[in-house]
Amino acid sequence: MKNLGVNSKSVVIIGAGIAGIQAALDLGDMGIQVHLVEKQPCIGGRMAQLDKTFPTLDCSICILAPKLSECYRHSNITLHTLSEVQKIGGAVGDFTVDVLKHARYVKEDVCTNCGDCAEICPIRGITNFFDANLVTQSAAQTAFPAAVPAAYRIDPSKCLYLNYEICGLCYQNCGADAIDFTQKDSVLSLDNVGAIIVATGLDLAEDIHTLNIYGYQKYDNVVTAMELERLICASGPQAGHLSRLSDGKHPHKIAFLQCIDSRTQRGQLYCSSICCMYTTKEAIIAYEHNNELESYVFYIDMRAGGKGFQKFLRRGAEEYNIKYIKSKISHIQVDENENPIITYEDYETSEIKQLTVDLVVLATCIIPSRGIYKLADVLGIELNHYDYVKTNPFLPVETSVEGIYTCGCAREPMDIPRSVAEASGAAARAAEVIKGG
Amino acid sequence: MTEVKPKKTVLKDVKIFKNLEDEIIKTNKCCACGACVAYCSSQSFDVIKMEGYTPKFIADANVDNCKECGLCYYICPQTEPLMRQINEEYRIKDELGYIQDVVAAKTTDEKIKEMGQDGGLVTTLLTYLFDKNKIDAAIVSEYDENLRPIPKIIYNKEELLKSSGTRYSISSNILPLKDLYSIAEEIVEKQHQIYDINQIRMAFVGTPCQCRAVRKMQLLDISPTHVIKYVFGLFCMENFDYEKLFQLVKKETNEDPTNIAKMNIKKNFFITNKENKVYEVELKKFDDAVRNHCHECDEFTSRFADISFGGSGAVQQNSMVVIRTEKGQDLIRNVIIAGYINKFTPKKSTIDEWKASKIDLFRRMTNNKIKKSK
Repeated sequence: MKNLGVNSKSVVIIGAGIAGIQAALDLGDMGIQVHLVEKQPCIGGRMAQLDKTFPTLDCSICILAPKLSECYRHSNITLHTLSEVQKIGGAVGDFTVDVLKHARYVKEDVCTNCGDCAEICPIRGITNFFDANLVTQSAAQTAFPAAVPAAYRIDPSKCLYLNYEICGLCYQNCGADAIDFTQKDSVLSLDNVGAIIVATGLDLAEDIHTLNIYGYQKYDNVVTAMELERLICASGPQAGHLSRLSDGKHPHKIAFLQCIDSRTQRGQLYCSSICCMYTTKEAIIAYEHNNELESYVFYIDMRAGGKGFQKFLRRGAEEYNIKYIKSKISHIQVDENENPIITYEDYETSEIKQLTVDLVVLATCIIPSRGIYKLADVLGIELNHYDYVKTNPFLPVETSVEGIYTCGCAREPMDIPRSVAEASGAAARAAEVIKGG
Repeated sequence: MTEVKPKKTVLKDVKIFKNLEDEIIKTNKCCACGACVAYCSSQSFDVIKMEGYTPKFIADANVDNCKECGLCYYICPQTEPLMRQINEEYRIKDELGYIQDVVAAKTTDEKIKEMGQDGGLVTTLLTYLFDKNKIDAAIVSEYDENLRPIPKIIYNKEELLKSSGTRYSISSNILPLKDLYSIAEEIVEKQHQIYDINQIRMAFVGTPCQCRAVRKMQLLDISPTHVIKYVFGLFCMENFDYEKLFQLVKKETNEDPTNIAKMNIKKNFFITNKENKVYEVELKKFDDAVRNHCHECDEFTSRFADISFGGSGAVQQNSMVVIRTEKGQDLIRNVIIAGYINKFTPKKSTIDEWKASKIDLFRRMTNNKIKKSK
């Protein structure tokens, strides 16, 4: 697309998940300077972690990866990874934004992403957020091989050189001389920022609750949906061969438990909106890995409102051996082989029943990103009573502050297509400010 | 000959293996735990090895292979660095360390009762951990046919019984961790699939100095001790040099190590031969065989363990258990509930008085050890 002209004002986008990336690309293509600020060392967010997307079962990273690299090399987009917005001033059309950039300790433009530093680093056991903490890595780390920017980073909380002035093995081993321990955290002041877009996305219920009654973290064979997503993914820890964490056996009976921590007084009061669909998606993918698989979906209500969504569920039941059980879960125990035993009330018959399965998958509730509280303070925007960014129902991308827009799961739980659509909406509103609309 | 490239480094004045040799190994302060060699070998640096009970450069040619990272010096349990940090981490303020609870208990398993020392608790706890699939392997020590203790990795509870009982000379218990890949292969063969070598879960049983080395390594989160999930410490008054010990045993009892069935230290040294003949020898007579580094040691009760075990102060076939961490507390609670061990209840005094008297005893014994060292 041709640039429509050069603008002096820029837009700051906070959060580089699919929503932030889409907004950045839209604005960049309009010829507007964009600063894309991301807390993590790489961009891509939650979508990069997923195996497939519903209802088309497309490979998630295959759709996303071209957007990631386009973002990286777009002449109008400046990427700030390992960064947080610290302070803002001014008003719509002329904000000033202070961005705190944490040191990567690796020169981004020199690093060849070869991994020699990670191999020689003596540190082990740092969990990788990207793989839902299922695998560990050393202090010289990258989230996944195709991460953008394609550079390693050194975790300053663990690095032996930064903490004790010993080791220095990565520096010794780096053929490209990319390790730079002299880097310091710095503050970048951006002037003349026309608009800000908040696209901070989501966290999940397991980030704040232990989910004890479902035996999560107590039993190896109870995993969350995001963990299953990584386990089943070809680039995940098990290289796409789904097996149980307790004994490495392939599961033949999987139970999917819906509404974990959502629609309950004990957790979140709202519906997480995408779980019914992604559960069916996961059951279908699992079936494609193993055609003898039986899946059981324990649900309260099937909430699959969207074009083709009902058809998708029906396809699951008819072609992929998924049994939907309207029920309420009481608790989960395990037998001597660590097989989870689910105790539940069957709503059809009002009977208490038990079912023994090989693996339990918890469809955990989407919650607002944990960083939103601090960010809302910094930006001065209001949150609603669920702690999502407060918006007007008829102006869904506008926050309580003029010139600050929002999109994606920062606003409410939603699926990828809607996040992308809203991102384009937020980008259009931001462009209006810049172009003087 | 490998080509020697000039080293580039960011480090200034870091102490390396040469310093470790000069300060610790050559001055006989080395406790032969094997931490330095386990670390260096797990990194495939090909620099040092264990020769008997002494860490050494593999050959003169390998001196230049040393990456000079300094980690071996830092993690050595006998050096100063990191001591302040691990003392803080494990809340150690005095000679006894942090004590969450003291209990006495014995196993309910008849087989273990027969084979084990005192209450057979370490064996029972490891059995529990294997039964409940909390660990994939455990590092213990075992006698070879000459009663020389050797470090051993066991993969199931059936292998455990061989390693019951106390050994009175040192084995380099951290050393076998140097080859994590072969451990992973054994686990896959004997137990179950693992998808990531770093997900191995192990329990470690060792003397105070070995526990100290493990904790130093864990403080830095370095390979290969990141796989250790439980650290069981043993009470340790002193340790004997294998060669010297059996020279003295031969002198006092005229028995060869191959004909000895069991050894036990209470007030005196009890040696049982295979014909069930028991010799009682004064402990003092073995003083010459005590390893030199034990003279510098100020630990008796394994301050850095999750749980420490020992016979001192226990009655009626019980073992004393000193719980030091939350993890240790949880484990003991669960093991009691599961019926693997029976807890001892004092009858003559209240539980608080009993605990105080035991802690007092440990303190006296530790101070004796420190005094003896000086």
